[in-house]
Amino acid sequence: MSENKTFRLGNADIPVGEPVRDPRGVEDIIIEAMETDFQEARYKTFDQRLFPFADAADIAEWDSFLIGRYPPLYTFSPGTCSDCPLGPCDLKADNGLCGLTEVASQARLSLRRTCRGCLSQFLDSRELLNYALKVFGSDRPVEWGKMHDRSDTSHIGLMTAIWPKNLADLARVLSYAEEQLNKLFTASFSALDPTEMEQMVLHSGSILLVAMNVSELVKMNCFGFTNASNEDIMTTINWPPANILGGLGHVEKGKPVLTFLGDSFLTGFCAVKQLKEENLFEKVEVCGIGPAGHDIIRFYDRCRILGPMTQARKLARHGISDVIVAGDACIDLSFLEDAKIAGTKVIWTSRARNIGLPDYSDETVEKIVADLLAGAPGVWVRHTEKAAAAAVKLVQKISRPKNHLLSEEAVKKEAKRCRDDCDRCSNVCPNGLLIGLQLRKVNAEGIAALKDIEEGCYMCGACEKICPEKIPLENIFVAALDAWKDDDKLKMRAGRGPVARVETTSWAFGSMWGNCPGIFHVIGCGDARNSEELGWIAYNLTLRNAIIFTAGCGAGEIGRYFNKEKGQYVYEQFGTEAQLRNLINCGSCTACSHIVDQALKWPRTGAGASHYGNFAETADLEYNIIAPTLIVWGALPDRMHALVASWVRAGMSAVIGPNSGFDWNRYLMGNKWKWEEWWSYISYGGKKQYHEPSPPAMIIPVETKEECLTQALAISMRAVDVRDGRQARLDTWIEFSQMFFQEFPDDWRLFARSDWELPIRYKSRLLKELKEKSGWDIDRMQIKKARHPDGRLLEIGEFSKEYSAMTKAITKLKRMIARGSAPGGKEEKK
Amino acid sequence: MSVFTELVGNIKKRKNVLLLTGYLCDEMELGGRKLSDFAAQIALKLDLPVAATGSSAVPLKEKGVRATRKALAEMVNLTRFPYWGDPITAQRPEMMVFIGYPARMLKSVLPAVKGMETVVLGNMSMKDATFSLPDASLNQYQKNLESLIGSL
Repeated sequence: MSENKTFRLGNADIPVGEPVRDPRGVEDIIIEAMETDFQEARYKTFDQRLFPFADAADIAEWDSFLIGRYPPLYTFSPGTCSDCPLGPCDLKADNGLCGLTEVASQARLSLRRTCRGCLSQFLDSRELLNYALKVFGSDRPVEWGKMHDRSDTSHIGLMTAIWPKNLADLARVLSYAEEQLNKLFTASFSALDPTEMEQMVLHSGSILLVAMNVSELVKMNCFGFTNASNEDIMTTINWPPANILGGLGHVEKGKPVLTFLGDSFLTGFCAVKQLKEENLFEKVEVCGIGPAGHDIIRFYDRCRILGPMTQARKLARHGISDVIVAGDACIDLSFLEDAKIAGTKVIWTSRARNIGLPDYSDETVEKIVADLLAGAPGVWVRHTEKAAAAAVKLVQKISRPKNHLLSEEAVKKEAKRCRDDCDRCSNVCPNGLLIGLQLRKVNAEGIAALKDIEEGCYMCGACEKICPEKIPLENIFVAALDAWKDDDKLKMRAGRGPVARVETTSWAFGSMWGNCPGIFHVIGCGDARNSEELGWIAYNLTLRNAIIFTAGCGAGEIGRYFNKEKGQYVYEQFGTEAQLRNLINCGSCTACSHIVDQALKWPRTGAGASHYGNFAETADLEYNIIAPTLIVWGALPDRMHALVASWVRAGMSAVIGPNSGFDWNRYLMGNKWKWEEWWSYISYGGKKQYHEPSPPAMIIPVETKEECLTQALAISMRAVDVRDGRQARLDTWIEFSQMFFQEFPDDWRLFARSDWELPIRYKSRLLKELKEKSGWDIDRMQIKKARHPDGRLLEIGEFSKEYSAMTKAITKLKRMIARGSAPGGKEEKK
Repeated sequence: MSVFTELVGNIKKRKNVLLLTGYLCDEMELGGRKLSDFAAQIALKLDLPVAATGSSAVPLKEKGVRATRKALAEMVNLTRFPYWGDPITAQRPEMMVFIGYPARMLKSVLPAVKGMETVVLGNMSMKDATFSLPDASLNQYQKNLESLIGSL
């Protein structure tokens, strides 16, 4: 019985039901978490509670703060609701019959979109786990790595309170996440409270990371994926090496090309195993598009990354691949017709759905290969090993004409038909590409005129559909890609897997008290207007001493950035240890979970807050103190909505862009100019403390890469920034603003707290601005009196007391006000 | 009275108008002239403050425009709060004029602008705007802008 069970914390035996609402069935999990990772002093001081297998409502105290301070800015309203048989209801005129308001309807769509984003990942995680259970058994041990211990944060720990030890634990964890997703999806059709639904949006992000955690643990423990946590820490500066080649230009000519596309690497794993066993790996080029590629390079460094999932259609139409093995992915850009045009054979392996191919799951490998060679465009094979064997055999035998691409002359001929009184293509292009304008230049400038728009095109097909002249624009873009395929190159490191707390601790000092402008997480889906932009962003931040983490398709896109002066790709230029001025690739899309988990190690390291079943306290500390900033450059798939929700819920703010960022229709932004809205509780005493608006937004879209860098710094400020950290952030923010916009940011003064924090190189000019524009009292290079936003001119010491959280312990959660310190507060636990 | 004269008349009637310039100002050329040239002429002739979003600030400043770098979403966001506060205009604007944004981007943000009129100087009409220039090819768009500037 629960009431008889206790856990030992320091010198006290505490009933297991004290920190948990209902401990039945999870007593052992609670006891293990409390006894191995919670700290007596913190438990006694604060009202710490555990939420094993948390529902969205269990974390509502934290989520409601986020949604309250950053009320969702919806930029789209459907106007009507048809979610039930009683509809449609016109929400512009009145509430729906069920009471649904227009805002609630927008929140429903927001929730539905993030749930949709989770689905394909959940399918993949389940399929992978089921396969592992089948092959390795439920007792198969799992661990994060040798350098990891129980104090290392993971979303599995945060959401379930479990420290997973084997595949059976992972099965329990994934069942929990699936149950949560089911609840959220149901609510997206029935809930009425917009705030509650937005809390659920955030929850969807957290459970997405749980599913990603499960996938990563299976990958590392069952399939030999790279894991730096098992390596000697002295070697991680250059491990794994920057030896992964990608892009069309790095695919060896003359060899058959076998490409894996989508979320699942399983068939690729079996195929590579076979290629190695049969000593065929020199004879076949293995390539990857999307997560499958980024997974395969973690166990096979000869795999070439062709591009991100968003470019799947263009790469399939190009026809570099002889065989494509594909499954479900984050975005449904149907590539089958493109593969048919190119003469590429398709083996579809998803267990979830077919794409219109005959089911060959029960046929022999020989039959599959024979029929494909005889002319079948593709087959559906729901058997991993069989699909792999067929792919390996097929790719060696296939011979196909490669004459489907338009010649430059043909492109010119087609371009002549483009009318200069039209330009409808530009107006429907999701990336705003000036397609017609460039196409009309082809006859004078050749196909080179299309370079920029080809890069920004992910072949959604909208332009071709609307063209009144029926110009085959998709074929033209593919021909353009082929024209510079030899220059389409990238070089990168394979993902290194998770980052242990011990490694995080080693750079704690440098990142807070060194000249580090911050920690930035740079990811993207490859749909930005220019393929080198993500690398440019990562390069410019790393160069300025930031610590950069990346994962997913964006990690490959970063690898396209080539520093001509140094003659190096960006991964070659910087190390990969979790340190200042390093660029760390964690892996494929599922490895995004390592990035967030790594960031959330700070509350344990710095404040001693265990993460087990303890999300709200962890996120509160993260948000207030040292939350890294997320940059999403190329934000097309719905999965990115859920991913960003996970970052935001963990206290980290996000810049998204470029064009696809404006299709999100929901942003989280406060009003930074209204100072009364920016405050926290002092943890010891519970007083309301006003401070600068840091950060002013949690999700904000931007248009250009220059704006992205500047905005990323603007939202990197935190109320408890230490002096050196604030100075480094201000310095880099102002530098970017000067460099790109020839001005100081017009809101930098909102973040001024003391003259010690003003960047040396701009100090005299900044002090002058404070004096002239804000009426501060400046004596030579010192601030004597500062202007409180309420208009009072205060001695600088008084100003710090009244309007700054520097050096103060603050919280947004009432139960994190120290017991007995606030009038009427709870007494300290005995 | 042409639509351009009427539009200019409406803009001039408003006391507090903010011009927002998007990234296309720096990237789009019409008849060999950057879109920022057109935007600058509009800003200067009407003496409008400019919230320069994307990377449109520098070319405008070089032409003597009162431009400040802003994020498009930040400006739209502010319109929903009773308190304006942004120093780019002393008071809450009565009208926002947009130029230099792809149609799809504006379609996405316009419905979120609250409590003020919106004018879109692009080449696609916008149903959520109070006024927008009509659908046009880029050639026609150039002519539309020239006519508009001629009416200022």
